[in-house]
Amino acid sequence: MSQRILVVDDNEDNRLLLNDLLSGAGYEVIEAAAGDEAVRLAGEHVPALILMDIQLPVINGLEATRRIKADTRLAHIPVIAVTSFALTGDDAKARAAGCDNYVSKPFSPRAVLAMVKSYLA
Amino acid sequence: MPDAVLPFRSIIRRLVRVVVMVAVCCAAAAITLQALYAIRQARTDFDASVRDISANRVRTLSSALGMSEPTLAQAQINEIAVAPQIAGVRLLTAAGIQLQAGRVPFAAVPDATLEIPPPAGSGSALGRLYLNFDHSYVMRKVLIDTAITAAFIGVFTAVLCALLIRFLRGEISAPLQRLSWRVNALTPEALDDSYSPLRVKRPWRDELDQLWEGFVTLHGGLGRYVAERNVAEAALAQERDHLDEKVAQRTQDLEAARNEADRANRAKSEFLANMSHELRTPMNAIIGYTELMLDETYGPLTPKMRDIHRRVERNGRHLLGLINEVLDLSKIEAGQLTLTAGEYSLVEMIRSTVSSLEGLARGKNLRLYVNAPPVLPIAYGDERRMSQVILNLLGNAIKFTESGEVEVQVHTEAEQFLVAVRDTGPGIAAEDQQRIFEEFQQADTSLTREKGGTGLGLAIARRIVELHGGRLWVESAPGAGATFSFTVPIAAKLEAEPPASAVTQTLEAAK
Repeated sequence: MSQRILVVDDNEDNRLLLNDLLSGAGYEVIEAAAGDEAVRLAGEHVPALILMDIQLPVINGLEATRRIKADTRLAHIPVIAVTSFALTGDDAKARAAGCDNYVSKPFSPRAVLAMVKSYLA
Repeated sequence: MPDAVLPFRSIIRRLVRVVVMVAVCCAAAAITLQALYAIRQARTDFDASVRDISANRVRTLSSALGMSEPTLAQAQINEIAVAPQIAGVRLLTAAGIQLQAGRVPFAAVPDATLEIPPPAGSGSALGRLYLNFDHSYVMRKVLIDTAITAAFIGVFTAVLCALLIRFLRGEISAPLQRLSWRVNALTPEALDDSYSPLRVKRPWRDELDQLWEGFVTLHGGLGRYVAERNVAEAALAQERDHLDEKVAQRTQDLEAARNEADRANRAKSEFLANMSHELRTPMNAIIGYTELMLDETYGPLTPKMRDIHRRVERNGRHLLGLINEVLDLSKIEAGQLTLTAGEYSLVEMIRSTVSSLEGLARGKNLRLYVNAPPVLPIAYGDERRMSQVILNLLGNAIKFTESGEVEVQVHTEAEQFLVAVRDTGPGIAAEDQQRIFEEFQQADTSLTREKGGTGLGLAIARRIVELHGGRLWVESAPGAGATFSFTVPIAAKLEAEPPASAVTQTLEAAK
C-alpha cells in the first residue's frame, strides 16, 4: 500500500500541482484547503507526511502544525512548511511551530519530491 | 559694602573741630606773646624810672644833704615814693642817718642802689639811695593788659570761627549732604532728567558743582541706557516668543512631514512585500506545472511542445528573478533584511559562485577566473548574502562584456578583504558611476530592454555590503572596462588553505 501524504494549500492550482507531482511518484494524496480541515484530516487519516502551506484560512499553517504536533498520535508525522511569506524569520517561525523542514514558494517540484522522498525512504 | 559697618563721622564736624583747635592755639599764642610783651614793658618802665630818679632826684638830695637839710631830703624821698611802681625808698647817709618812705616795709635786698655824689663833684659820696619796686603792682598791670588782649582775641576768634563754620556748612556740608541723599535715593525707576539744582544759582562754579554736573550726566546717561535696554529687552523677548512659536511650528511641520514620509515608506515596503507574496503564488503554479510537463508527468511531449515549455520555464524563472530582487529591496527598505552572520571561507564561496556561472561565460566565449593568494583569513558575515553580491557583480560583468575576460581578485587590506570584479566590457562613464547604484537605474536605459534585469541588483549588492559595515564602489572609464570592488569583514583567525589550491585557480571558460 502506497504512503499517504496530506497536502494543505488554499490555492487549488498549487494543490493540484502537488497532487499531480506526488501521485505521479506513486504516493496517495489527500488535500485540505484550510487549517482546521488539515488538523481534522490528519487525525482521521494519520498520513505519512504533511506539506503545510502557512497562509491559510480559519487557522494558519503554523497553528495547525502546533495542534498536530500536540497530538501524541500525530506528533511523529513529518511536517514540511510551504510558504510564500516574503520576509525573513519565516523559517524560524515554522521550526518554532514544530515544522520539520521548510520549502519556499515558488518551489521546484523536483526539489520538493526529493525532500519528500528523504523523509519517506 | 564693608564701609557700611564703619561709624559715620561727618566731614564738617571734623573740619569744625580742626578750625576751632587751630583758632584756640592761635589765640593762646597771641595771648602769651602779649603777656611777655607786658612783662618786658614793665621792666622798661622800671629802668626809665630809675634813670629819671638818677637824673633829677639824686642832685636835689645831694644838695639837701650837703646843706644838712634832712627835712628837705625827707620831702624828696617822699616824692620819689609817690610813683606807683615804687614800693619803698631808703636813704642811708655817710653820717649814718637813715631816712625812708613807702607803702610797705622795706625789703632786705633792694631792687636798685644809687650813689649820692657830693654837690661840688669832688670828695666822697654823701650817702646811698636804696629803691624797692612794687612787684604786685607790676604784676597786676601785666595781668590786666593780658586779660584785655585775651578777651579781644577770644571774641575775635569766636566770631571768625562762627563765620568760617557757617561758610563751610553752606558751601560744602549742606550740598554734600544733598548730593548724598540724591545718590542714595537713586532707583532704576527714578532715572529721568528732572533735576533741581544742588544750591542757589551763583555766578561761578566749583568742585561740588562739577561733581553734581557729572552725576547728573551719569544719571541721565544711565537712565537713557536703562530705557534703551528695556526697549531692546522687550523687543528681544517678543522676538524670542516669536522664534519659539516659529520653531514649534517648524518642528511640528517637520514631524508631520517625517511621519508622512515614514508612513509612505512603510506603505511602499508593505506593498512590495505583499506584491512579492501575491506574485509568488501564481509563479509557483507556472514554474511547477512547466517542470511537471517537461518531466512528462502528463505524458510524452513532441519536440515542438518541449521547446515551447522550455521557453515558458525560462521566462518564468526570469520573472521570478525580478520578483526576488524586488522582494530583497523591499526587505532592505523595510529594515527587515537581517544578516545570518557566521564564519566562512570567502575564496571557497567565490569559487563556488564562479563555477555556477562558468556555463554562461563559456557561452559568450569569455575567460572567467579567480586570482587569490594561497593563504587567506576566515571571513565573517552572511555567506549567502555575500554570495548574492558576487553573483550580481559577476552576472553583470558577463552580461555586459562581449569579449575578453572577467577576473575576480581577492586580497586583504587594512584588516579586511578587498574583492574586485574586473571586466573588459564597455566601461561606465563618470557621470553614470553613481547613478547605477540607485534603484531602477542602469547606465543606459536601453540596455535594460536589451540585457534584461531590473536595475535593482547593484543597489541590493551595495546595501548588503553596507549592512556588513563595508563599502562597494566602481572604477571605470568608457572603453576601458569596469572594476567593481567591495570589502568583506575578516574573522579573527587565519585560514590555512591546502597547498594544492594555493596557486591561482584559473577557470578557462573559453576552452
